[in-house]
Amino acid sequence: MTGGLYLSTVGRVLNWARSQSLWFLSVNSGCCADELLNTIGCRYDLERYGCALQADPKQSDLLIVSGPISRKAAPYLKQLYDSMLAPKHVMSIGACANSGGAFGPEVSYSVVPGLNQVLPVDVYVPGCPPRPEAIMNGFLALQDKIRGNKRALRQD
Amino acid sequence: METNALFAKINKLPEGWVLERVRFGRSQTASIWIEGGKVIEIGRFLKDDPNFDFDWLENVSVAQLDRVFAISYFLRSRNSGHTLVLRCSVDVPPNKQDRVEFFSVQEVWEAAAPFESEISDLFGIVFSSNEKSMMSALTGEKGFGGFPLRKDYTAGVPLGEDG
Repeated sequence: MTGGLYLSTVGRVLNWARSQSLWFLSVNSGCCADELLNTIGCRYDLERYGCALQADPKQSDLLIVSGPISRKAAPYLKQLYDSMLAPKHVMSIGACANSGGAFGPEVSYSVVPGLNQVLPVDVYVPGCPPRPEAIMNGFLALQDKIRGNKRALRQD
Repeated sequence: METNALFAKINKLPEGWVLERVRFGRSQTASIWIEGGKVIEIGRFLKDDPNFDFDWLENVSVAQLDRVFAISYFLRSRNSGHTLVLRCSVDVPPNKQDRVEFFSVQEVWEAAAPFESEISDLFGIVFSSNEKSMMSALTGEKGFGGFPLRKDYTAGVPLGEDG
């Protein structure tokens, strides 16, 4: 079923519903995962935005990658992404996932220099590691993007 | 890009911009020390000039070296993939409860906002024009006396009872 089948207002309601129920699958290969756990925890309580951790890619709307992706792991990550059902989104957390960071191409031959080389990334969260507030800001930016607001479309 | 080629371009920067050129860390990344007051001007040039094109602020870190804070901006170019560490310093205030003011680079790289909020909490460096940040209302532990990552910080002293 494509979006063209719906009236625009119905599509907007659906997008609003999608943005408020971002169930996510997280691939944690670095220390940014600790910050993500912090964000899920009781102090920041990510679930109040409708974001809940899932274990099954088929039930997830969002794939979160927090940490460096080695060239060996990249095909499996792609496989994980492919097994998610559309509409699906990707969030990259921390300098390692964004651009290789401390394991960039000038240091390491085995780390992918940026998650965008493997998957289409929707939101980049900067930081080394980012604070929970920055991760929450990333979730809010993604919700804005799904709803079609302009805030998330800024390039800088 | 080779570090040497990057240094060759850095040599052509206007006089007085670069105080010192060094290679940074294990990766031997090119690093330049600049004057704190020129960080916005130089940052904007490095971002906009097609020869450098440092459009990505990867990280901002601060370390207290004796009586100065060394602020490092880790830059990367998305097009060419080359990296540069921009470093500048600001004096540590004599009183450990005092904050010190520095220039915000948010107008050059918007990604600086979360880093500057965090540095503001942990080192007491106030970045101008960072007041509007959505993060500033959220960050900061309640009840900390002083700034936890300063060398003169003593743990367990509530705000207002010491210094």
